[in-house]
Amino acid sequence: MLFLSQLINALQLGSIYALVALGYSMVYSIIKLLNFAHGDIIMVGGYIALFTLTSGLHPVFAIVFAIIGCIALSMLIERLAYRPLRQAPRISILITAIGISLLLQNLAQYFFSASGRSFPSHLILPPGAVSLGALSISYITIVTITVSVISMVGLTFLVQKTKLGRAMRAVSEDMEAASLMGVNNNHVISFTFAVGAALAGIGAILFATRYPLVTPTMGVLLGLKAFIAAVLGGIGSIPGAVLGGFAVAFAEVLVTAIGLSSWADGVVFFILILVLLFKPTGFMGKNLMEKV
Amino acid sequence: MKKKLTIPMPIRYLINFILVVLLLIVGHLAISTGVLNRAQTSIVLQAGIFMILAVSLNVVTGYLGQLPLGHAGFMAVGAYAGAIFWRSNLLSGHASLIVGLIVAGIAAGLVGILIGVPALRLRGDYLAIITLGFGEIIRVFIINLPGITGGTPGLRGIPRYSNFFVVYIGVILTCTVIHMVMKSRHGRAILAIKGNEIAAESCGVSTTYYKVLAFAISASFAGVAGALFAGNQGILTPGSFDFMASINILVIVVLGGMGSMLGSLISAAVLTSLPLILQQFNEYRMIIYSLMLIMIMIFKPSGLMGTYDFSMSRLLEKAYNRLFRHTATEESPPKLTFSIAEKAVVPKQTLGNKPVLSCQQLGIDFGGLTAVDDFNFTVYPNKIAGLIGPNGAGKTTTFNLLTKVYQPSRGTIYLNGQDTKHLNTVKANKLGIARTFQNIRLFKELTVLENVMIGIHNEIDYNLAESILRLPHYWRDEQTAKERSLNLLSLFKMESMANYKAGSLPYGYQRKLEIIRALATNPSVLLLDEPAAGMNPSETEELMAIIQQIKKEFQIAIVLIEHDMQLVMNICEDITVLNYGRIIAQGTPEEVKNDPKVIEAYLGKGEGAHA
Repeated sequence: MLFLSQLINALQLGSIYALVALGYSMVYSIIKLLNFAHGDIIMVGGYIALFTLTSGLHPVFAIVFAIIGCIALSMLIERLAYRPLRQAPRISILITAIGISLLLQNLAQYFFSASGRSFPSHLILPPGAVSLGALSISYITIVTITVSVISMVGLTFLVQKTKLGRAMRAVSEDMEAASLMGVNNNHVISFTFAVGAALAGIGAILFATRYPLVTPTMGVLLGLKAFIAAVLGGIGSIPGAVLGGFAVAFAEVLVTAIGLSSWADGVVFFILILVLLFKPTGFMGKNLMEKV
Repeated sequence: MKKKLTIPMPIRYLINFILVVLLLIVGHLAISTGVLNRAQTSIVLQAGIFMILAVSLNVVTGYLGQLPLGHAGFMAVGAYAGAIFWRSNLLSGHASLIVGLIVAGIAAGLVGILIGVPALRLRGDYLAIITLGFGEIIRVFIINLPGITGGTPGLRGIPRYSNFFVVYIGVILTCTVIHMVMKSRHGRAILAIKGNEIAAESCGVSTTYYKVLAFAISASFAGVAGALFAGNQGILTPGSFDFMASINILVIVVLGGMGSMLGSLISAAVLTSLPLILQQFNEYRMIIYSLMLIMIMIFKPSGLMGTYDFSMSRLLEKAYNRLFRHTATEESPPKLTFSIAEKAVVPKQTLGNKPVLSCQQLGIDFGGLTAVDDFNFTVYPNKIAGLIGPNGAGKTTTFNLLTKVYQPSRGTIYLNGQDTKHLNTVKANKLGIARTFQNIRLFKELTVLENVMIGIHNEIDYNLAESILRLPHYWRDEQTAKERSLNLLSLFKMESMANYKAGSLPYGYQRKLEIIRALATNPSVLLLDEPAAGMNPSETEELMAIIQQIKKEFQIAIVLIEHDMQLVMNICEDITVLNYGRIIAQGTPEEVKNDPKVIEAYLGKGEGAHA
């Protein structure tokens, strides 16, 4: 029974990681950028939701505002900081992304203070649980897993079955060729950032409801883990990101369950290193070879 | 025209030495007379420690061109190693200080190698992530081994060894050693890897070795800086070495200019002292740092100093020439002091009449696609062979097989009588095969001369210690390498361009330079991949003459991929025609020209029937 409840615990955590990992993965597959700022977008989403809720508006607004806020911020960052560097060496754009991440964290720290604020999660979802015999599953766990599954199915549909999705796949394969076929690269890239950010917004609400504390650095570790999940699964692959998210969550829950919680982060990184060394493209990534 | 002043090397070193001593005296006086108070002295020490960190990180980011995100991890290893050694009281006084710093450097260097060997198999983004991971793992270990490291509360009671003198010497030693390494064949190899990895390997530069070397040097100096940090703080906590600490060091390097030692030094001094001097600044510090990172990347990606490096001697030369030698011309080309006849450009090889290259049933598959199959080919010294075929026939793939850029799926390649089965590109080059590339792969940021000298990398053999200590072996070899490079350049009338950046050359000269660089590796087989591509008729004419001259002067075998049929038919003695990865004809130009299968491959079946 303990095992089963830990399993469900891991499933919930894994769903959140997967949602966030998808944002990394999509952006990487389209412009080959590890968007270090993605985790901090979640933090911003968390604060937006927090302030909407404390201002007394209906919780639905909190969810909608958080998602819209994440999308707007993400598109703005892409437009101002990443687009001018699209032709620059990869190292430049990577450093820029690190810069954005730092900027968001420190702005939040400056305006909202470094200490966290508690998130009124009961407004989003009343506490409680469904009990199945001896096993009890909290509402938030059920909602998290459900919402994540719906989001991922929606995303797969978007990428595989729509015109925009086809354009995204084309741009990620060959940006120049796609633009010669009349695909507007800038629109497609903006849209990709927007989709990733929407998932991040959803992730922000789910995460803050589960761990009801919003801090300027809440996105760092979450972002890092999700990012590891994306790399683990094979960056650029949707099912890979999901698989990676669950793998990271299971490893973490397992290490914590056997009483080594202070090693949990180390173990996650260690798994990442092993996977990178033996299968550098992750579980489901494509193999890219330099043309000589 | 008067001769331009150039200060000879020994005097340059003397000037630098005097400069170093003067600065030391000034610093020492400022502290001992109380011009700088205790707090200010502590700022100076901090700045010195961050100078070492920045200069050492610059080896990997600036010179090697990779982005590690775990530099604070190496700093931590050195800090704890040094501190634990000092606290053990094995030695006392100066001996303890010095041995402790060495222990720190070695410990961090070893961890650097341990991490570098696996991590450097990855590139770019992946290298960044994996080093970030390692950095965090180091910290997790420190937290979880309280018996050794003091855990989260910290390691206390570390002797405060770090005074001005110690830190100053640390900075000077770091800069000197790294400078000496970079201005040697080892440093050139590291810069070549940044320029183009595949080209570096085809010049015989072992990229794995030099990447790990750069990583180890970088890590061990970070370790020394860590120990100095411990000796300054008196207490160590794992929090000082988190991801943010690594980013801090990176910001310093990026701001100063990746690839500039002076830039790293200045920006370390400024960024370390600013927050400590201006307390208000501290509040906005991280906001300004992050904005700075973004702005620099968007508007001036090369940082403040770019790759510029300071040289007092050069400054003196410039001032002197400006003042007294008005008529001196800028950048006079190096003069040849010997004739080509006098010094053999390439040590004469006795290749005899045995085949230098021969392959049997060579083939490679990419997934389900067979790119080359059943390729049988033999070349003899002093011959020019042609490899032709329609686009996509597998010509360049064949070159990649011969130079071991790709490992063949089947078949054998013998180079000078030796099986190359277990060799990589570097070893194949050492065995005598060199090449040029279809899409030119020069080290664009390096000078023409340096490009050729990288080709000579394995010809000269002074080791790392000899270059750091500037022993006679270093001077002798560098002189030889320089002379031989100029000599080779002069063969193609390019010696006057020796000091130009390779990337700034016109297209035709870039192609020629690539051939010269390949020749510099002293090959017995030279593979030229579409050398005439993009050349106009007169340039092609000249190229033809050059290729024939190479054959005459060096007596080596040349294999040529080319679409210019006139060139191929004129200079090749033996032609192999590929189509769909298979040989469809082999023979003299006459035979091949009239082969119906060749005509069909080039012109299609219908016209072949009429011909």
